Amino acid sequence: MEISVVGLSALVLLLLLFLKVPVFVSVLAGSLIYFINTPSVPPQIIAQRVIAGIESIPLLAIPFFVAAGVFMNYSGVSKRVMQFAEAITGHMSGGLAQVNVLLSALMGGLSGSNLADAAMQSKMLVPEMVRKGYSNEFSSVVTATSAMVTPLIPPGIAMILYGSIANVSIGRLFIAGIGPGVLLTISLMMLVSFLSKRRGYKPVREKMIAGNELTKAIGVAVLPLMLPVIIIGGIRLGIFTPTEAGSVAIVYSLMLGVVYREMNLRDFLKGLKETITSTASIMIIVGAASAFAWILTRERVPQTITEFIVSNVDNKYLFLMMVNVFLIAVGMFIEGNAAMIVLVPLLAPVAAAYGIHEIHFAMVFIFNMAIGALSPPMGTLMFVTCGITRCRISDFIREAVPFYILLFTCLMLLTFFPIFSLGLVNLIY
Amino acid sequence: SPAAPAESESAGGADTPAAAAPVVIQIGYENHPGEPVDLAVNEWARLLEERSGGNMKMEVFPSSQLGSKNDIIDQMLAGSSVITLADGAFYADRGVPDFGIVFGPFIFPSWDDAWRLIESDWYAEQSALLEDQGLKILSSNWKYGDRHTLTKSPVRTVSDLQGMKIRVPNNTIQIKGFEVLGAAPTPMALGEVYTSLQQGTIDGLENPLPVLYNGKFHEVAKYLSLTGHVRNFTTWITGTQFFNTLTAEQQQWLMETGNEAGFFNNELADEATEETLQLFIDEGVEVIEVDIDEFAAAAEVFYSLPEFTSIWSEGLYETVKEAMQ
Amino acid sequence: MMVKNKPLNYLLNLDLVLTGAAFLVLVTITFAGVIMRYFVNRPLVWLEEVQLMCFVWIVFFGAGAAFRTGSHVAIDMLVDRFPQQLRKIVEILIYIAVVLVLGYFMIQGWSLVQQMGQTNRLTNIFKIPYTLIYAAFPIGCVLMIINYSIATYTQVFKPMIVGKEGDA
Ligand code: NA
Ligand code: NA
Repeated sequence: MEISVVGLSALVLLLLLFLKVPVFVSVLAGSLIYFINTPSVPPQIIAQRVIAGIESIPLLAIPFFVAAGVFMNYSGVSKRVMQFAEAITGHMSGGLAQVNVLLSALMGGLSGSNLADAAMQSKMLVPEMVRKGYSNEFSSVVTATSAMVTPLIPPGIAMILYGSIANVSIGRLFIAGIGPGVLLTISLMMLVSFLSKRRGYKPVREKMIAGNELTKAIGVAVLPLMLPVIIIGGIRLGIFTPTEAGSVAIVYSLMLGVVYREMNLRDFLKGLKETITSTASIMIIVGAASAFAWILTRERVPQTITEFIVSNVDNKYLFLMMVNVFLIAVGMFIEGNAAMIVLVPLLAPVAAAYGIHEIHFAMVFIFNMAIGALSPPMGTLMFVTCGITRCRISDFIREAVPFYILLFTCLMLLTFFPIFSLGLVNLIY
Repeated sequence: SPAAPAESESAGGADTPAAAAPVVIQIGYENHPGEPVDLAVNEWARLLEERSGGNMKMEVFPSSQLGSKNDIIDQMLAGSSVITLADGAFYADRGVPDFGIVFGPFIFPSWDDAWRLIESDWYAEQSALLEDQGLKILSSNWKYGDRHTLTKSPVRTVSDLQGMKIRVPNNTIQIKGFEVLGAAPTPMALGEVYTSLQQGTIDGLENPLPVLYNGKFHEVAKYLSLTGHVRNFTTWITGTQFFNTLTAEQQQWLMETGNEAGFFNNELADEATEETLQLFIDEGVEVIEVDIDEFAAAAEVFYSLPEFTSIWSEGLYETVKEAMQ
Repeated sequence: MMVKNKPLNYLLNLDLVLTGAAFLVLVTITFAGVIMRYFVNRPLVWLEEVQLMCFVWIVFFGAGAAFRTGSHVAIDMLVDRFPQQLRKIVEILIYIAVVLVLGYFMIQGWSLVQQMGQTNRLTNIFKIPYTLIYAAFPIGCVLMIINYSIATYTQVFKPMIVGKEGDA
């Protein structure tokens, strides 16, 4: 009986969403329908759920890395990094797009948050790409898709959560993530190269630079290039957590702004304003989405559908396929980590009963959640990127089609070939 | 009993007015499915439905699905029909400062002392004070476990703890409880602890054994000191606002099944503690038996810290010690 | 977006001053927390609660400003294809819907703040009242309604009125 209320909520949400109502308001409106029609829940709880979705220390990485991206632009750090990146990749077609993908893989080594990665690169890389002639929608899609790599490469919040819920070694999950992470990185680079050739994003030079020119390129960028060294070093030495690394990056890029004398007070204030409006527009969607996820959980919607799948499917591969379809659908409406908390305890034991390796299943699960974050109607990665780059959602989705195809191909490889998840783990353990 | 499920089924299916509109309660907690608390809650739900003849139903939400402990407490204060698991440290922050002392370091020499305390007049008084704050304790006989310390370098004596960054939950009682032992208590979200331990941002954490094991922290911290600094019994609460809407009979069903499930929980908890201890050993963790008396003596100053004596009733420590006789 | 009225302009930017300050505090204490934990070995135990307070303020006070800068994301693929007359009607309906939703959340947010006041909930270490932290939510809703109304007026209604005058 409550299910019909939830159905109505979802309907209102979707209707408003496609009628150009701001995303967070659409989601809030859906939640509102539920609270008005559910007298047993005191209505002020709705406000609590929105705030609770934001009150999380790991999410602080988002404003930090947004700000780091912003201040790198104003302080002249981005410019130098880009000059360097272009010098190195200038001979490739779509060089900057390749940089975009590689940088996410690199960032993956220090942060577990795909949203923070997408936010920073949308601020820092996309304007630079657009200046060099890439289309805004292509740059946005590359940024959003490659951000999916970040949580796959250790460390990743998703794996820590999965490991502690499903009683799987987190260390092994970390290792297992490298396979899919590298698979995705390489195939994305191939796709980007292919698309760039077709679009005519030509190489800016004939051969890779070498000798004096290379030394000069490094010389110009040496201070900015110290940033990843400081961040990775700082995390590895246990000086700061990945979340705190964002604040270190901000302080460092502000310092460089002083060194280069490229940033004045006016730029600083402008950067602050950009940081705040971007952070607010991202986080308020996260908050609204977590309120809606709470409703679905409280009404046991994902639980009920899981029970249905489990009791109606008796073939291992059919089960995996159903899980794929279901998880992508869930990922479209519920943030990945929230969905994981509810669904892992229900699905993991069933997967085990079908004889699916626990780490293999974990990777399939985590990859599915990542795809959901990229898909309409409620893909958070998509909104974060488009919110910052001002790319229209319709343009984004059109541009993303080949990328979706690639992601599904990767998902199928992961689903049907356990070697991608288990290969490294078996090698090491 | 084997007859029980059939009985509850027939009661649920009966066409009585009570069966038509059962009281539905949501119960939310942090523990993951399969942990002793989770299994015992499910047992509670089963017992309650059976005892009430389908008149009362409990929906179970593990893994903080309904929100954090504080969020659920706010929900019940707003009138929601929710139950959650909380303990003295929380009640201290909810307007009953004396309650916090049950979370003080080494306050209970044995579990029996804890069980005697919850039967005492002092405990009843505190529970009544909590009711004035809108929170009703339903059941107090749940053993959450002895809290032990898992670290990256061995802790054999109090002096080994000197300057070590130990992750503690974010409340004054647990922070000060480790500070008096010479450690540098570091509040941190549990989700960040694994990588922080791995990279050495922190040196250790404390919790009951099953929680330490399920978080997989022993993959990155190999020394387990059986400090048992807190005998963590835990309680289930709901809002008085909701509780008062129940009939006397319903109230009684809810509380007595809660206590029965508590005994069920305690058996599971003891088994789980033993099992996890063995698992730790099997997986290469060095288990260290520390001299509890040495630790307890070092922690004694806790009870005269001005942070607490200024908000506690006078002579609280002595009162509590007497109440557990 | 610029509002011609100068005092109003200052007032409208007050949210940015407040959130900007909160953000600087957030970065500073986080950085200081790293120094205190690693180099001084005295972790700041109050860090988390102040960080979260700043975060909540930044998000809800900033959400109003985000309407001024047009930062809120919306899916425009359908509406932008509607014929112009229909689009105007839809945009008016959207405006009403948004204000109603934000109004509802303002009221519920305010109830939550009142509850925090009645139950006197405080943060663990600094004993900051939660009324202060959660007040950002209803106030943020008010700011969003104001900013959204101004933005809609300048972008949707004003061109409509000007357009009509131009036709005449
Ligand atoms: Na990562
Ligand atoms: Na990228």
